[in-house]
Amino acid sequence: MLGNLVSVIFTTSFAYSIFRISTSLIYAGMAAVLAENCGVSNIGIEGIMLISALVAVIVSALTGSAFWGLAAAVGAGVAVAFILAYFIFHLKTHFVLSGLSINMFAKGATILMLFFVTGSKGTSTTLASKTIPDVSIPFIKEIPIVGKIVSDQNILTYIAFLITGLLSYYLYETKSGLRIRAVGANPEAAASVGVSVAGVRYKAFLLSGVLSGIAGAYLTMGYMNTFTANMTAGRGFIALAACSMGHNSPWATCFAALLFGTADALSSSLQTINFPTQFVQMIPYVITIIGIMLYSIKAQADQHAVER
Amino acid sequence: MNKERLKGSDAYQEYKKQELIFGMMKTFLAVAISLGIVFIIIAIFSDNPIAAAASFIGGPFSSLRRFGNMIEASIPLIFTGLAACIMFQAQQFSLIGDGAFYLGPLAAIAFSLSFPDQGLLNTIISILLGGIVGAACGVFPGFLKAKWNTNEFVVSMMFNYVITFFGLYILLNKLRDPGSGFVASFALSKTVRLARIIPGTKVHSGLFIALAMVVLCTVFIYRTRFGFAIRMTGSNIKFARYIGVNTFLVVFMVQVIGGLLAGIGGTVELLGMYDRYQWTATLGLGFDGMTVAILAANNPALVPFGALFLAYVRVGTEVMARVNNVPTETVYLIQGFAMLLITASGFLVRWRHKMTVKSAARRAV
Amino acid sequence: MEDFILSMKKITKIYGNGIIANKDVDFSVRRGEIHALMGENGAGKSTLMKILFGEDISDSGDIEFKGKKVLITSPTDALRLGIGMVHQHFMLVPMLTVAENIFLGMELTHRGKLDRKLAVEKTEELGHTYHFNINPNEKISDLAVGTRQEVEILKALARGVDLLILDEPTAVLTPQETEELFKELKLFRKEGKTIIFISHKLKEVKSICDRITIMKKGMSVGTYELADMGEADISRLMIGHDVPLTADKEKANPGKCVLKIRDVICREEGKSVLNKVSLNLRSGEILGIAGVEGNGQQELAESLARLRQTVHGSITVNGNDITKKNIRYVREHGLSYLSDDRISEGTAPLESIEDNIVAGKMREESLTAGPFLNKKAIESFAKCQIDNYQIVCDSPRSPVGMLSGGNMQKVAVAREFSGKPSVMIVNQPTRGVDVGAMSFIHNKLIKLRDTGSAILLISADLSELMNLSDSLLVMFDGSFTAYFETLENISEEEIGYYMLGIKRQDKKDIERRLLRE
Repeated sequence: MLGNLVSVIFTTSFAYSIFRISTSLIYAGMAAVLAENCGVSNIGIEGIMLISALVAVIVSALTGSAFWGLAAAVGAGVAVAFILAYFIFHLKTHFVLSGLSINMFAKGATILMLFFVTGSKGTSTTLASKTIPDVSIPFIKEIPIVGKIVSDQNILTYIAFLITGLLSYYLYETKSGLRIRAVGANPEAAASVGVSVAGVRYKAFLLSGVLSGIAGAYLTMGYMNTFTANMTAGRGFIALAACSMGHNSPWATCFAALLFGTADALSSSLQTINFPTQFVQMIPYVITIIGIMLYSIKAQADQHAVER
Repeated sequence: MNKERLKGSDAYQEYKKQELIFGMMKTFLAVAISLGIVFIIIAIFSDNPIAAAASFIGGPFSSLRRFGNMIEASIPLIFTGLAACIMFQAQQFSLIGDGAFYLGPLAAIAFSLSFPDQGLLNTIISILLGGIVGAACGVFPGFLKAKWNTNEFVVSMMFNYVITFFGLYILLNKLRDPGSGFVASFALSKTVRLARIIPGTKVHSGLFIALAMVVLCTVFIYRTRFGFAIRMTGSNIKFARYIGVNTFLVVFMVQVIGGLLAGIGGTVELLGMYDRYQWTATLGLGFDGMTVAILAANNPALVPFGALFLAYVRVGTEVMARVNNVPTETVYLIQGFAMLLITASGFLVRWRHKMTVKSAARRAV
Repeated sequence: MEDFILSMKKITKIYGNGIIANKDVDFSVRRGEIHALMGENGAGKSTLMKILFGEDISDSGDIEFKGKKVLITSPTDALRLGIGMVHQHFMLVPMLTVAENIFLGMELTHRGKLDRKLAVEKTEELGHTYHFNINPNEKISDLAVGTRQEVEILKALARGVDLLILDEPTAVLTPQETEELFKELKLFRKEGKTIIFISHKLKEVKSICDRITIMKKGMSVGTYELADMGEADISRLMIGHDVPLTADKEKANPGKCVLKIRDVICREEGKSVLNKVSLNLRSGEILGIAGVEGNGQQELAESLARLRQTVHGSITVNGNDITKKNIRYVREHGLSYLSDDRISEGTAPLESIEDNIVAGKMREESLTAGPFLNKKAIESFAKCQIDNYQIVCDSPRSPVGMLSGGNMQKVAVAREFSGKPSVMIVNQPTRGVDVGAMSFIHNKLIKLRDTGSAILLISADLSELMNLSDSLLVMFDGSFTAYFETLENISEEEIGYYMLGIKRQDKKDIERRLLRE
């Protein structure tokens, strides 16, 4: 069995699939990073992704255009993020409970919407929704091994890394990003110099909504081309875990997201060689737990070192 | 006793009463708005919105059976609501109740099916065992949080997935009854299951167990030393540590106790409402428990009311769905929205208090 | 005709729960003066300044600034007008640098990107102009408290303020640093800037300020020239009765040694913050520990209270080794600790006064019945302490957070002192507390000493230390650099030299005298 395992993992198609699977997690991870840096976690990423995923399918089918599908998904993401932000920053609800409420709301709302539009409560196969294309890169794809992994990924996959870089620049080199970090670190200090704490947090959350929207759209327009009920399967929460492990910083979170993507890919591959299904399905979650555990052990050791 | 200093206390009682009424009004308002949304949805889906609305509002009272459904639905919600309350009192936002509710009864039924005695003793031990396994579920996230301050929300959520897959494996490979048409365990004997207490409904004696738990939890939180420690830890953990509270133990135990309550709840639900274990996924009761705890303002004594309300909404939606072609998933929509609005109103009151503290900090000159 | 830069007229502010913070307050400040604002806690001066700086809005009343009526609804408005404030609790972002903090909210950018170089240059310029010696690239978290305050002041100056509000600026400074600060303030005054100086320290106010406004119970009691006022006059106006400025203290009669600290080392980030510290503390005496904040006093207090781990040495209370024991053990074996931070540590502000008073006493048989709480006993105990400590409150069930600073501190004191501890560690007992409560707590402390408790008094308020201590230690850079068995002929200035490390007694000599007793 070990031989089988090795032959499955050490292939270019496995490596290729890692990026494919991780794309959604990277966007969601960036969404988490934005929120964490402003001081308030976005627990609702899961729900926003779900709603965006459905909106993408519906709109792209209605308009016949993948672009509008994506645009609508992002719009939906911003709208839901705005509602969440309103409740947390204006009405002062607890961020965990509001986030969970949004997720629950999304669960019901998506099935309702699906039912309304397609008459089905499970999938959207009846809709002729569009997909976002893969891109074949001319020179790169000729390179042995690397070419098979790097080329022919989805546009959104390439953009994911671009976004990671952009976010890093935004947070550390722009005035806006500095304010977000200041508000997250010491909101009173920021307020005392006239920075609008609520305003900055709203902005961070809306941007988080944009990225969650893309994460959701990718699920139904890149990764697959239909919407299935509850298809996000905890990705929004795994994104939070990745952000924790990545110390709230974009590139480190991206790396953590890839790690989880790898675990997910592993679990799919193992299923093909007859590992008991449930134990295989557990793998990404177990790895997430181990990851967070190690991270918090380290964080606490650092803290104790400070006190030594 | 210096009367002068406490003469303000009458004014204070007045003020507190006003706050209470104010708070309740806000909760009602939140509920009313959620229901308003419901009616809009009904209007979209249904040909006869008024009939649909009527069946939603009146549904649970339209027949003895449906009324019974409401009570039956509230029983597991009481257990998970209590679990969430206890964890919230220590400001721990763990979802482990979900997983405990799933795994506890699985262990219970595995035991029950093989235990020689098939009567009351079996029932009692099964329920206890379900609780213990549920408590064991809470050990992992609880320990991680206590020892390394690992985010209990994410860990418990991930761990729930692990528990569910594990439980499913056990169900499919060890307990499954091949003779059954759907995925289910072997059947429990009738003598182990909990008795019906209201003829014409499926309401079972688990209700008494649930209410007993409500009393126990209320006394625990407000009248015991450890309950005091829990409340102080939740209120200001730095303070709790400073006065000598073993916050490690508190943070650890509340998830264990939460798991215990959820495990008992799951087992009671199994023994009261089903004749076999047939759950292939968690019932999401962990989240519902949080909703109930919010409705109850984290006070165990108010959990039955919160649970009953949520059950009412659930059953109302079911009736409406069956009769008027409105999808049952509407209930998640309502619940999410209601939870959102109710936390907003509930927290407006708490927020006022927090502002008081903040202004005390600023007034520290 | 007087040239008033600021004129606040008939300012009234009533909080949501009915408390009248400001009532028809008139407050005027002349251009170019240093104007003191004093008053007990709850007197309303903080509220007034909050309104001035836009952190709060008055219910009625007007503000005239530089001759024009203005509306200030946020700190941005205030800053734009030229009003700046240096808060008692610094408003700095620890992980950002000095330059980043100074320019936060008015960041310098170059084509969309942060212009770090320019910010550093401008910060250095500012530093030179005002004779501050700071490194723009250092992170705030690496700076000493006094330096952080300089950054706060620079923040305001960078925004071109003409009126600077200083909220308890000398609370964290040594006598020498205070002198430095006062030199700065005189410079500002010379350049035409106006300063509002909020303080509890009568001596300082008398030395640096031109005029004083006193507030009491939400109203202004009047504005006076300081040249015409004596300390007794001021305190009489503030409280309405003469508060003795020195506590009533009989000579100490120390008994046997109850606390023994030997060679304790405490480390943080590899650096020793407590450097082989040893002392003996006897019952019935108050041993004061003076020092600039950040020289190990906090670490010493926390080590004793077991909030912090030590890496070497031993601590014994009544013969019991408590070096590695947990907090509960230590509290149950005769050691109590009054925290310096009543808001985030010393109390649970959202909980009732009653709960705060009985917290930590869960092992006492009188208050509990097995694992259960004895509600009646708890209620009567709390009521008794509220009475005993004259805590002004609406009800024992009201949340502690709603009390004024002085009353909040009394709740903490009630809890800690009522246990009749053998060893009482007291850390900044009257910081941010009004004069009336301060005096009350001082008297309770002396009473506690007279019943036989051994008291270790750590304070940044030198006059408090001089008032209360029977003997005094000075702490510098993690060790004791001076020990005075008696305070009879020592001046504050003299102690200041030891606090800054300018002078030092011989370590062996200190130990010989300290550990002999």
